Amino acid sequence: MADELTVIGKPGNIDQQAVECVTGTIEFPNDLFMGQKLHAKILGCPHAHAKVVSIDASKALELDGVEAVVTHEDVPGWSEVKFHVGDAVAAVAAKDENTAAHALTLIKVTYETRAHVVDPDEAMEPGAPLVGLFPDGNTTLRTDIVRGDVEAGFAQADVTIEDESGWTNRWQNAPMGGGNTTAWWQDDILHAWVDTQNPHGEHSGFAGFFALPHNKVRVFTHAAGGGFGGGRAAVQAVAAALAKKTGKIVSLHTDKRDNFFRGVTHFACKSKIKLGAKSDGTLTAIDAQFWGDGGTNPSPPYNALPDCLQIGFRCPNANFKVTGVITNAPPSGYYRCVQHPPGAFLMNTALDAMAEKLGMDPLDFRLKNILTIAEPDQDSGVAFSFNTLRECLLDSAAAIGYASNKHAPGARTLDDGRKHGMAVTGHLDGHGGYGSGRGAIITLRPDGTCFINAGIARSSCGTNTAHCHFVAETLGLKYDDVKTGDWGATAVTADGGMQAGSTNTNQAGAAFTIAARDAREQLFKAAAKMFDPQVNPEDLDARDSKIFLKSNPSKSITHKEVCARNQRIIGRASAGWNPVLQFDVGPWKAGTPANQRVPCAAGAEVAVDTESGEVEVLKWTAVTDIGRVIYYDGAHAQAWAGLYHMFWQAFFAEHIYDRETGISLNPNFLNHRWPASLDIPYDALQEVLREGVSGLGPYGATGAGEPVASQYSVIACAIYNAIGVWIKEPPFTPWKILKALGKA
Amino acid sequence: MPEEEKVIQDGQISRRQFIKNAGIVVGGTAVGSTILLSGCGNGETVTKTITTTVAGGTVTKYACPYDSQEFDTLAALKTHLESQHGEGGGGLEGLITLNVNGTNYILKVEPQWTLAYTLREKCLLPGTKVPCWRGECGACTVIMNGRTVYSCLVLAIEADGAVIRTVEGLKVNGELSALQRSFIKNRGFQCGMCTPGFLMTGVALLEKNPNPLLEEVAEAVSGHICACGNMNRNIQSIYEGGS
Amino acid sequence: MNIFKHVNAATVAEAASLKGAGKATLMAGGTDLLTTLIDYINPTQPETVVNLKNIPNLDYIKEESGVLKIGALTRLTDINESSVVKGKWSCLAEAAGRVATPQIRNMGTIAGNLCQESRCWYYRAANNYFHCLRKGGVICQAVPGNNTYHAILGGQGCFSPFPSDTAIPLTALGATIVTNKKSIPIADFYTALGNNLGADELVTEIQVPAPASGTKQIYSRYALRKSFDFPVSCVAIVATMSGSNVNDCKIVLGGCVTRPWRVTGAENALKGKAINETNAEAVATEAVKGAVPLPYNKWLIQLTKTLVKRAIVSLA
Repeated sequence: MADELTVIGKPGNIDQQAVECVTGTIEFPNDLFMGQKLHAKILGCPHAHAKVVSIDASKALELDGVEAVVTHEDVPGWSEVKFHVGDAVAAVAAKDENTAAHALTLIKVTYETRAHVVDPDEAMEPGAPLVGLFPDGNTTLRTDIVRGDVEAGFAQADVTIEDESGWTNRWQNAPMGGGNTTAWWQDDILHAWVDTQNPHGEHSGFAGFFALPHNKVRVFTHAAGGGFGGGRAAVQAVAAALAKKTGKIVSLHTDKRDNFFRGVTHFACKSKIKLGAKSDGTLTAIDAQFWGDGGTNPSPPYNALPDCLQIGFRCPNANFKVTGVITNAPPSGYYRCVQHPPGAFLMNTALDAMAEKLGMDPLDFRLKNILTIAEPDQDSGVAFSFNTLRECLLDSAAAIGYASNKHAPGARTLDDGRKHGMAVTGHLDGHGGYGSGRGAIITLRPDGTCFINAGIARSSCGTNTAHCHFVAETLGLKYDDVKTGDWGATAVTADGGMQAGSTNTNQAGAAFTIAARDAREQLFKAAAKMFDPQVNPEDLDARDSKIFLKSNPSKSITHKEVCARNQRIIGRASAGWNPVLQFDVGPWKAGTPANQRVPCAAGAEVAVDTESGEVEVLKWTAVTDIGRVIYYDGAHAQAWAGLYHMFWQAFFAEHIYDRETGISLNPNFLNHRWPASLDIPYDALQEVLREGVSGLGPYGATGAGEPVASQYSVIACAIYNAIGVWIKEPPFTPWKILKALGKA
Repeated sequence: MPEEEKVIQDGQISRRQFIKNAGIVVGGTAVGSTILLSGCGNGETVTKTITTTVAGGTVTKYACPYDSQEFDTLAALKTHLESQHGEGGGGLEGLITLNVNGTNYILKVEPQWTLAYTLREKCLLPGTKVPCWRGECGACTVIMNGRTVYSCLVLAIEADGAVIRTVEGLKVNGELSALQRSFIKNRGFQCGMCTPGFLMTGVALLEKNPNPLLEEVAEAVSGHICACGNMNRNIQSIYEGGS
Repeated sequence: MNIFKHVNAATVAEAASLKGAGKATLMAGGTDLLTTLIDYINPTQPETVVNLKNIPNLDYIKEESGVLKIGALTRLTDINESSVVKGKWSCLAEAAGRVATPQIRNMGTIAGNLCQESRCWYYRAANNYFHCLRKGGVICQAVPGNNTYHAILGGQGCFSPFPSDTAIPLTALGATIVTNKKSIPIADFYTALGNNLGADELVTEIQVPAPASGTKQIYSRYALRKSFDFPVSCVAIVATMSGSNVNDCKIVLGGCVTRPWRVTGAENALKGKAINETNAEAVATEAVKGAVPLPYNKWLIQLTKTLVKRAIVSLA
């Protein structure tokens, strides 16, 4: 079928919002109503734990141009107790941004400060100050999975290791765009432009916050900024509350500093992993404990930290436990790929430690223990929709010349005196999975062109564009004949779901495919009558905006001709298909319930300067199998972007708090560093999309956004291979390297 | 007109000279009334044309930014400005002129307003984006008097007389420029927030060096962040953007 | 930013007088000042911002009788690109070209780069969160706190790193700072807590004597990123040669020091020596002698030593 595809996977199809992006006209929420709106800023609590006793905003309100101040009394979701530095206390709406910012300094707040704890290890000690979210402590058990008999498993082992790693680095969810909302009320209907990953979800959120029926809310989103998981609901409610109070349009602009104080931080975590294996390398037991630092979020998504080890590696006896710790620091939450980057790091240090003790090559050890397609999930018993992890690992190794250049840790010094290291890692990533809960509508115009009605955010790599590919392919239209039209407006679109979990392409894509099949059925039914003599719809096929007879392709009519005579062809879907295999995969038959996970691997080669602590990436190839590539340029851009994020996580990303006060020390782009143009080793980075075919996703597609960003830990392993010392706390900065070498 | 050319070539010009020499071209689009402006508070009016539909057609008038008096011709407005609000006449504090993408704006700005804020909210040009507000990301880059600057760190009141180019001015005769078409072809964008800044730095580079090396492009854009991770394509877009 | 008045100074005297009257702050390029105002990092905010950029004759690069003279408001880009500066004062041109980013260099001035405020992250916390020793408070919070990038040399109560790139080669080149009140060698311009500009004083010119012909110079800098970042550690070396041996030299450290830090012990170790790895190693060891690490910045001693050693070797 692949060679019959005309739109899907073809290079050169242009992003649906390309012109808007290169003209600066794509609208972020604060790009609207210029010159007509009020501007809002939020005041954060200066204490890590405090109760607001009183707020005197009189001086702020006297400032020329200030129109309103709101506090927890006006904003749904705000309590009077604050749990971290920066927790929102009040907000101001004023005639311009600077006036709003200055007004914040005039608001007098008295606090009753409370004991606080910022360090997660301290928070776990008995007698630690209470963070205040749980009544009786600062920890909670989040995951407790038992498989087989771990004690027996260790008894069978010839070799055991115990490895402790972490705390891993916190990084802040602070993309370029994000955290902006423009809201207004018209009569009693709330309107809000948001940069959201989930417009329909926001819609429900606003309705809940303000106790409104859903048909009195309208949410809009065009440019969403980088959508890496930073939830913004509590922040957005502020704009709406100020709009209500002032009766005007209010634009809340959170600059990057605000993002650091009130946005979501990726959680730090640590592990204690005990492994048991036979001398031939077969795993017999896993006892893995993880801890995650949630900040003030009592349930961030680190419950799946064990995932990488639990899902992709064969072991009949295993315990996986995750304990959550809360602290008086900003809330943790989702950041692109969530639990996998740190979870893979914690896993890979343990796997390599076991390989070393066994005297086995770390890649061979992994190849021995990864599941094959014939094996289902060990805990749920559900089959995988495909599994090419072995191929991804081997391709990664080949790309860096691993077989002929690998060596023992610390064994190779380059001519210039630097230490050389290589590593290959991989796992089955939990993102990019399939699910059926999305809606889609498509409409055909009288001239045979088509709009997709996308009730979904536009993600940076053009998932809206990918949806047009599904529709064009299924309807047999040229790519240019399908457009997104407007998108993201909840009052006029079907709920397309959330851009999250790398599911936008494949899950919404399934809904669009079904909607397109629906429209195709109507089209073919009408077209069949237009042939002379008439034919049956089953006799027809379509491509390149022509509907033709399968048995005689030269007999055709155009979509345009059909639509001219059959107007208002509308295709709809309120779900995708059930999660069962759409065709045979390995030993599994079509119709078998299945789970879609994305195989990802990486090979890295580094040179470590032991005098300065600097690490140069000589080669870093990431091989990800995202199934069928749909929007070619978007998918490859996404894969390179994944390498960029992994590079950032390995060498730069760390959000640092002052341990005593809990205040962020680097709430900005200057010290929470995104690598810039001169920092990136372009020639060394290589992204490969392997293109297997998943048995679940539409046209065999999975999701790309996160599986391609899962493996910064390959650098940890490569550095160990270079210097024979583990850096257990990323990022791998010169400070850490020199310390590991005993030079600091 | 030689005097208009002088305005653009010299860059920095005095306010008085500007009012004397140049035609005052109003910024923004024709609006039905001045009520739109006063909703934002006082003291920051913009010279606007006011076009009213009357029996038999439309009437256009030119409004003074200080006292909202309306005049039938630009020449009459100029005379009024010089005589009533000229130097020594008071009321000129914060009055600046900006030439943005070839259009002249007369604006009364507050000292704290940055150039970025003024371009967006007063010249109604939201193409320049401002994610960080601190000169740490490059998205707000515009070309000012021939050099790339972070408009979030320029005070508008100090940009009086400046010649400024923003992303809104890149089209050539209404068509996308070669650089913009290169950004489309190479997919030099993801979320779009950093893109206008990269485009302006690209313009400045290519006007000086139409065939840069990749390394020269990387050096030129070293003041830009692209957090989505599209740096390689942003660079490639500029690299191929000269033709 | 607070609500301030804005004045365009017409002359140096006017600017000095406004500054001296108090509650006014001078604005050159603005790339440092505005960031301090946006975050309200200081205990008080200025009532007036005085723009210096309309003052004529402060933006120039010229050589007069062998002395390089740079006006206080000269942009860093122009210094980096000047054939005059690149000719005989190449380490200064190099340093000016490594500051931050092209846009900052287009806006930022040499005097601003020399007089900019500390980038210590305790100092820079918004709303004067830590009213620290440097701002008139009692303690330096970096000492018990996170001092990973703080000074290993020159700490006297305050351990703020030194953010200026250009001050380092200017010190190695023996520059003089000229103000509206005095001329002072740059070596005497900085104090442990700032600089010695008086209340009504501003920099008007930087003068740099001509190095002897055949002088070798280098400015070498380490930061986590190659743009945007302030120097974590840097060094400027100016050396005159006698055959293949160093005759005389100046070695000045920057970044993880509280002010430009001339290391005469290292200079003495290099004088009369050939430039090779062994000698460079010995000189570099001298350069970091006396470094006092805080709990988290000991790595900077090794890093600085490596930086100095490699800078010397590359002079050959």
